Amino acid sequence: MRKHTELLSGWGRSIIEKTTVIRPEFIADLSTINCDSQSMIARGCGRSYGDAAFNPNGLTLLTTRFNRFIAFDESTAELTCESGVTLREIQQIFIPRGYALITSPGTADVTVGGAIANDVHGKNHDRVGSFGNHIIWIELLLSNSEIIRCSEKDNSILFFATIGGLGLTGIITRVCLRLQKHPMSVLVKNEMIPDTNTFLSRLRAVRETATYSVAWLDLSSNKYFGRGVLSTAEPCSTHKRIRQRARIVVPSLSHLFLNDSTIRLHNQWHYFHAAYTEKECVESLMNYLYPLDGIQNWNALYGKRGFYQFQCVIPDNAADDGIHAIVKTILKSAEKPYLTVLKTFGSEGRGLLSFPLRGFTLAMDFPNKQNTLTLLHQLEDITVAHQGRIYFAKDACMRAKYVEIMYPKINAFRDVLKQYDPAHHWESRLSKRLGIRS
Amino acid sequence: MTRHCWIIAGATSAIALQFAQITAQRGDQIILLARDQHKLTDIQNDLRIRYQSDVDYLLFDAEQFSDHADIAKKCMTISKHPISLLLAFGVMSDQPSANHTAEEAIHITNTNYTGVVSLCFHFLPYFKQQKQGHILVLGSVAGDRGRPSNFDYGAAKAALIPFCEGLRASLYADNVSVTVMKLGYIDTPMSYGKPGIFLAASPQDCAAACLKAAEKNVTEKYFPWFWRWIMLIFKALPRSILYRLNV
Repeated sequence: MRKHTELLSGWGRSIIEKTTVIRPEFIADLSTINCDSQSMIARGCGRSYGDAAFNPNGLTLLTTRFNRFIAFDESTAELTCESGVTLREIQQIFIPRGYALITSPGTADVTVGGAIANDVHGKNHDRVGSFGNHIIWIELLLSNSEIIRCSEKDNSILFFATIGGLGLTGIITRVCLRLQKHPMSVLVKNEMIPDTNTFLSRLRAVRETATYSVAWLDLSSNKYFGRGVLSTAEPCSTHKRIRQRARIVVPSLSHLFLNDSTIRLHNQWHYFHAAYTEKECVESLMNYLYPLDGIQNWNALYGKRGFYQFQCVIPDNAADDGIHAIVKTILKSAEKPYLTVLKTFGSEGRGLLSFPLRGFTLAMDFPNKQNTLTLLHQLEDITVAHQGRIYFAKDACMRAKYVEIMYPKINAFRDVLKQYDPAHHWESRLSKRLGIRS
Repeated sequence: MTRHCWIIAGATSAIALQFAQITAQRGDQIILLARDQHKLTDIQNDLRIRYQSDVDYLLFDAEQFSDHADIAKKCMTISKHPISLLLAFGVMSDQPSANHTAEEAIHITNTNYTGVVSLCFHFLPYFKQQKQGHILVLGSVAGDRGRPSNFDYGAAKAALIPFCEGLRASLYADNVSVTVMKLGYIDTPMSYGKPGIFLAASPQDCAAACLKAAEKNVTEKYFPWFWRWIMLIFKALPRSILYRLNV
């Protein structure tokens, strides 16, 4: 199979490196790959923000052409598909038939394989947990070129290492996952929240009752610091016709229009837009789950230097202190996040390296400026001090010393890799940077 | 729109895969022809789940000419609608043509040209009978000029042009269209990772353009569009210059 060299980066585009890429068309073609004992990592849509999905000194295997559905059982709602199928394809095909993914992240442009490897979560984590909770089995290409099926019962060590395993156990080839019956739309309720304290208490209240809940915060200006909109939603079957938003691609110079002032204006507009429009509205499930997908390449808005996303989770018992400490640090700092989202998590993930913990998760997008890294390292320290952890899928700058503190099950994970991949065949830039395998 | 039955020969190629998606989505019946049974079943299952479409497949090897009559006959028994034919199979070698053995060159010619001829002739009586339908052949810009890198491939693709022109003329009265697409760089395994590939179009766009061209009864069309102008210049280059260019 021919190799292709190109510049690859994560969605945040803060790290860009020349990488050798191969792109097989069929799973059957995997047996013909000659990797010359180079290390390898699978890459789907490239939506992880940092460097989890490429491997500059080895090979990166694109799974995007493994995009075939294999079977769907209506009675059990079990879908079998190849790992390169995107969540968008699943939603677009199954929502009109009355089924939907049980949980899904804020973008639909991720592959099923990537969603498992990062054990992604959605706005309904309190109700249903993360993506890995709804996987029935996974077929995995191991370093010895064998394809092996693992599930809760068979090869379970490998199964739980693969969920959230950052692709380091092998290449996910086929997956069987559970869908749910779901109407095409949701009833959304928006609530204006003046400050962080209210956010925490309101989120704590709605996590018990609402199906979907998410909070958008404005931390971009000191004047209106911490106010925002809490949005909750319930599935609702309405016969109202709902228009799908058209997807736009922003032109290449748009980043000139994104800066601290314009984002402050935008955030004010966003807040008042929520204040003066209907407090309750019916929205299509796709529009509600994937608000940012309306712009196909919104990462380009941050320009050449890209951006960092910082996402941490802080367990319930330390959440108030932790979130306040983070928010205060940002208030003092000159670096302001352009987009901030606060959510609650229901329970711990099933994978050995799953990110979710019962608690609060805060995600912030920072444009890549001179002092951004210093601030992010401060936030990291606060997270660790409050028994929290940072999401590998979003990370581009974490320090390796914290990995073992944040992910206590990492030694079990390393043992699995020692057993199944002693020669370190699977590596990504992230795994090398953070020493996940050693 | 009336339904068609698209017979897609070379169904595991990237463009054919997308072509099958587009035609299946709008409700056409599909018959896939290719060599690899596993891949064919995968594609069949995928199309059935996505569009609940009527998909069958038959094993087909472009070089096994003796089986083609049988395949055509089977296709006709399976099809429930007027047939149309997409010939998307082809093979190209990474080595410069002069380094090929005679067997390799014959294999390239047989797959890219003789296979098309054979299949077209076997389907010809059925097209004459049904008095409608499209025959869509995937050609290449490589057929416009012989180059050291792939003149055996180019010659086979070039031979398709007069063949299809004659076929089109003889089927004109029967209301059957014959279209040759002259494809430039498309993002398929054939071109992936090759040095010097620029502005490769996606197989999705290519498949959509092919279908549109066939349905509009276009005789010949370049895709992506700018290849028409590149090839216009390229064809006009005097040999003395062409031979000195490393293209």
